[in-house]
Amino acid sequence: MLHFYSASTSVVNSKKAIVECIENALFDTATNQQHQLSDNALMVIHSTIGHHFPSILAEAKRLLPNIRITGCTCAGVIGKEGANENIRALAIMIVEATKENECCIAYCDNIRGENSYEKAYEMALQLKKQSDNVNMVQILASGIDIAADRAIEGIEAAFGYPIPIFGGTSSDNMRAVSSFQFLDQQVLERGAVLVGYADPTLEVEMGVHHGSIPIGMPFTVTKSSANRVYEIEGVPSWAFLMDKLNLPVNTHPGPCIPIAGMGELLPTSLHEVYDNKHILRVIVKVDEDYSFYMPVDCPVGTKLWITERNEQLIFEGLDRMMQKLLQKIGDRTVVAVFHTDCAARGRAMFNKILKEEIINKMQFPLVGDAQKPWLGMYGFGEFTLLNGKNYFHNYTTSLYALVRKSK
Amino acid sequence: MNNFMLMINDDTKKLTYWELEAICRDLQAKVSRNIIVQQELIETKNELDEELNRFRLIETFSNQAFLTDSIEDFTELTVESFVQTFEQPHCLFYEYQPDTRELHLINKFGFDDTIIPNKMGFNSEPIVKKDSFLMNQVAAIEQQFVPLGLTDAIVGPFFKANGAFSGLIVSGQLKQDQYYFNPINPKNLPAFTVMAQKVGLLLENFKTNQQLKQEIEERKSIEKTLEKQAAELARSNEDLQQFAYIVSHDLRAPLRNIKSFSQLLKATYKKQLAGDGITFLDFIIKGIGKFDKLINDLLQYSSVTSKPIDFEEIDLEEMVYDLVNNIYLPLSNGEIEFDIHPLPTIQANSLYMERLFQNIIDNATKFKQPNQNTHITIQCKDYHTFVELMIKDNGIGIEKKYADRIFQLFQRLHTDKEYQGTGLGLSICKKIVERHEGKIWLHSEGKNKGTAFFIQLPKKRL
Repeated sequence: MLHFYSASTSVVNSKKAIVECIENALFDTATNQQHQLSDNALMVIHSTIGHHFPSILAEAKRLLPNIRITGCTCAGVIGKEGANENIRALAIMIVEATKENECCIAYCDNIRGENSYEKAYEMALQLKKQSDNVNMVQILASGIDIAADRAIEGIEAAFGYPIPIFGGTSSDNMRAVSSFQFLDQQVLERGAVLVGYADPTLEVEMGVHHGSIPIGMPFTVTKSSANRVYEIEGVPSWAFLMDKLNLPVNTHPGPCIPIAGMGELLPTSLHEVYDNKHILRVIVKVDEDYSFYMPVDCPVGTKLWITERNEQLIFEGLDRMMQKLLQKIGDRTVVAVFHTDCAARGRAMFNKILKEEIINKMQFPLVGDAQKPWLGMYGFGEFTLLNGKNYFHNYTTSLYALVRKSK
Repeated sequence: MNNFMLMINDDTKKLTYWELEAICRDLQAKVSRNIIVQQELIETKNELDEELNRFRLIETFSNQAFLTDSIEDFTELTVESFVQTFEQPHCLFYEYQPDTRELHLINKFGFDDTIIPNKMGFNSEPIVKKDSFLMNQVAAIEQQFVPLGLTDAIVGPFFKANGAFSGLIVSGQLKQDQYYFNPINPKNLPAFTVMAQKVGLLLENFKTNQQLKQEIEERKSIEKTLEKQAAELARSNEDLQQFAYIVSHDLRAPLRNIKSFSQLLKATYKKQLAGDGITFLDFIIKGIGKFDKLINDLLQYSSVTSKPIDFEEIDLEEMVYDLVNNIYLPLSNGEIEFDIHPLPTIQANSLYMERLFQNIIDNATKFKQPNQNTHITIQCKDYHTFVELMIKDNGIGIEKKYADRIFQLFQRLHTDKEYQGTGLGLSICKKIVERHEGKIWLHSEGKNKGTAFFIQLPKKRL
């Protein structure tokens, strides 16, 4: 059986920050003592880009020598203590297993658009090799390099069925320069990590929404290859988009993340579950020929809309998402929550007060005042299982509630 | 080709598809561009929010700084708080030394891979205002910090309460940081100024407190040393007293033998002793007598010092009358006169009280003026918790400068030829009074004007 412990901090000294997180996560208020971890434990770390990662990893290893460590960078962390987008913010979730291989890790380096399927497939096989009972997979992957839909296909192919996939892609502080992934003492720049959870008493229930609306008429992709879009309406794709936004063509994609979300029409069957007719995509990489990369395949003929985030829709959508999620959970107990939120929905959209309100609207209905383990990040993209199918999208809030099965 | 209708002021004008499409595209472009305006509004709104948050962090820093215990903790908290508040990856905290015109690095953040010199010469003349500024706004400052790798930084001078320049906080970026960090926003300067000023005052406050703490610790340490020394001294005194007691006690037996045998020798062999033999023997016997007196006094002094005291109710008046009637008057040949006033009953040790009075009266009779009767007055003032006795004589008096000295061991103001004695009588008195938690002192108007001894004693034991 898996048990979860979480904490987050805004302490800027990296060593002190991880010490504080571990101490707070493992502090048992009932006994007023530190919980003694078993040897089968894993730590998922989310850190903003300013921290000194080697110090964090080394100190975590020093304090908990037997623990496996994974995680990734992000634009901000979300813990049970709230959201924190400081340049040095840190959050952790410790997962303790009572049996060996109840949670297992597989990883790869150099994941890219063209090899995302193969790399994900191999990692998923590694997970299966470690345990036959993996019943949900958490993915943390480079937000700049991965073709997420290919990765999903790879994982599903290895398992032979749409195993629930949750998690997100790593990010920096919305500069879209580079993001990092952690594996034990290694810091990867183009890596991906899969965490397999093999606790038969656990299930994951997911909720998602975005709250953006398409603006005007769509544009048609006229030249593309896999997830690389060369032209829109016969014009180099980035140049076309920048012209529409009245920005210079050499604008870096980082600052455009909040304003250049691309909408794609969803199949009608997903309109209700997704709470929107459109799924959103982010552009984080542009080539010198002004082609850009989407996080998923974008064949010729795809219609893309410029979208706009709408505060009212975001708040209303949030309430509907929580209602649906609570309905799905029913009387089962929430034991921990993972959470990925789009970096563009953090400080680029909301001030501290609104952000706190949004986080409260999610945390209070799910865990009340119980201060249950919660680990979230503001990343570049989110994975969610909808109507039995795994999707990758951007500009969303995606919640993953781990619940104990009803007896 | 479809024609579309657009209604304008009841007039109907037909637009072609292409004309309508052009209007839509124009509208589309306006709406798309509006997204940027909207984003700018969000950013402006959030900038204000972040400014407010910065002041919250500054307040938190101030509160935490008060709770730090050491200068190291304070300076570490300072650099970490600057990094947190202004979201810059590096911070340097310098204190200015006006005597050497140097900046001394007292803490830093984010320079793990860069060597920063601990000291550097600094000309404070460019620091004319208390406001923070961007490093590249002041060429002299830029020249000092660019060699450390900083490419963009805010410089916050701080000052003492008296306005004297006291140091600098420098927070900024190295070249490689510019991948992830936006250029420093000059809008942050006012908040930086506020925080740097706070640091200046806190540092001064901290140093003053530190100095006081150090002084207190030094004093405590001195007190401890003194206590230790006092304890050692007390132990050594105790040992000495014990030693004196044992020596004087053990010396008495052989001395008594010598005295007896000397007297026997004189009585039995008086005739056989020729020449100066008898004289020498008399010297021996006289010397033994003095030695015996000295040992007796020493023994008394030791026993006053080392033996536990039993306290009882003593009627001082009765005790003094007994002493006078039984010891002094029968031997005085009318040469000693007493004037005894009413005396109280107190809790004290009767043997020691008798010894105290006896020694002082002995003193008065010994140091009498030639050809004059000794007149001794004994009286008492009753205070609430203690009594003050006065034993006054009309003797030769004591010079003021010797008033304290004569209570010390073996201190004598006269030669043995003038007045015989051991120099222990008043030391024993002082010890007795001290064992009763009282005080003794004397007053004399000078030579031949008599001496008054004052003794304060508690009326009751607590």
